[in-house]
Amino acid sequence: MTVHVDRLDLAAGLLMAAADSIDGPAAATDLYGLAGLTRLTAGRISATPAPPHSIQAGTSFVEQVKAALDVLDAIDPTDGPADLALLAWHVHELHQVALNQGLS
Amino acid sequence: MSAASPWALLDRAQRLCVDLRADPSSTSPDLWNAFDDTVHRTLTNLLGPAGRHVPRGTRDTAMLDRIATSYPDPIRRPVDAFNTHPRVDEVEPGQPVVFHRRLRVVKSVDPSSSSVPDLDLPESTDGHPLARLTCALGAAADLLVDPKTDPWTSAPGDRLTITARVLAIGVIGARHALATGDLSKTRRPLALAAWAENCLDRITGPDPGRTVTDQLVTPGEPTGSGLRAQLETARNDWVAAASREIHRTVPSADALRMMANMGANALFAYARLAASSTGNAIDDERRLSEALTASARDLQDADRAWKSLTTLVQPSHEFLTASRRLHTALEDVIRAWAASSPDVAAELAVDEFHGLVAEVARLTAATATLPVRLLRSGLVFGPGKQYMDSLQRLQRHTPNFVPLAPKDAPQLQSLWDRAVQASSHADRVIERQRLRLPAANIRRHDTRREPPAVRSLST
Repeated sequence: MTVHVDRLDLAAGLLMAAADSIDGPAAATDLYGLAGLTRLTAGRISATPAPPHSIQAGTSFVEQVKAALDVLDAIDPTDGPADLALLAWHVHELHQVALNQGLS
Repeated sequence: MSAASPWALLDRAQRLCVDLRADPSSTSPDLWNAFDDTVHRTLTNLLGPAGRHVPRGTRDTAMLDRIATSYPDPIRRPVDAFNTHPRVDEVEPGQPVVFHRRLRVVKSVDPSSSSVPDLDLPESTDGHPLARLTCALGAAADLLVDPKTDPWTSAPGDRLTITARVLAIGVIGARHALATGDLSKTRRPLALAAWAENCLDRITGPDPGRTVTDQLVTPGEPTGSGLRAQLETARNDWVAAASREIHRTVPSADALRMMANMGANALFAYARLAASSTGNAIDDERRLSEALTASARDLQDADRAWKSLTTLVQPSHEFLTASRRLHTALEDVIRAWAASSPDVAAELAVDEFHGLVAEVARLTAATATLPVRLLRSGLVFGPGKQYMDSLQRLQRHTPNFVPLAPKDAPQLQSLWDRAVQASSHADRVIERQRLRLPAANIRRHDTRREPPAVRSLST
């Protein structure tokens, strides 16, 4: 059980890091809404996100979202929460929103 | 667990959801009907027709009963619900039933029980991922009613957990159908997605979904068309979902952040539109843009004050979906503004953006003292590494999150106060500005003063 909880925390942590990468005092305001949506998605996955140990420099927002999706997809269905498939769908939708906003 | 167990097939169905996400193949009405019926059949076989197999007297009984009996307008009624095992005391259709010595009713003949509509079920060799998902789920449903074995002896979870997994698969199939299906046939996928998501929120969250006032009041129909109607519908759905979020016993910190974020985002966009509008004097434009940007910054500060803090409560699926839809609608309007005449887009957006700012002002005002109340109740948590001093960390194992006292987050309430004032101020500034615009551009959209339509208690 601990394994999937940790992975959910990790997926949420990756999304939080992705949100932080496009948000900040000097960031453009047009990505601020996407940062908020990303944090909300992370919050739905886990209320206690775990920051990833290391993120390679230059990793883009979309790559971090994709990494979070990969973490969720790697969880065994019987080992994850009952709504695991829907959580992954939310991250997939977030990925699509980011692509539509021109992020890569 | 054998390969042919219903649980293994349910696992397979869940894995097939991954294929569904990336697949652009269109969903035909027949395929959708087959999937819809299969989800209903699986739930029925899990819980029994009308919830007959739901264990009585457990904590989950009421929830499972509700799921078993509230499927939105099933295509086919479950087979063994067609009077195959009538109760001894059951009255035949057409015969009078005595409820009271003065009151008699006649049981009606149910026209749907005489014939079951035929469905074109997909083959297992079908390449469409929704067809394969339907086959896997259908096979699992068949095995659940195998009279030779009791599948529950090897179940990987309780009935509620497994029901929730089927519901999640139902939402994903419905969302795929909405994205790839016939636009004139979205009613059923939309109804299933909304129903299943609501059930999932009830299963995973401890709070009741809707308040009494939400059930009594419904917003009016969208008044415009295209982008404007899309934005108006998305805004109404988001406001309803946000209202439910803030009335939870312990609201989610992420939901509170999202409210501030949405308000700031709308104000940034409105400020950009105001700055480019050709209908106002240059000084007016500059002043309006500066005032709205300043308010947006205050909302942004309130959002960021919650950074790394949590109430350990997750926002609902419904609120997340509504927030994503509203974000997408706002982006579409901004893109339309960039691509076409600024005046056209500004006129299009002015009502809806103002409506959204007014709603954020109302929502933040309703949560004005929430941060300090949550802090005083010990319901705000922060990372242990950040909020425990080094001596404490040496003395005991550092927990991931620890409860905070008001002194640990001294700015949380003051920044939220500023956000409440800023959103209210922005609402008034926009209202004043709109009163100066030509009459043709003004359609008052003040949800606080215009009572929405009221529908009957029974709905």
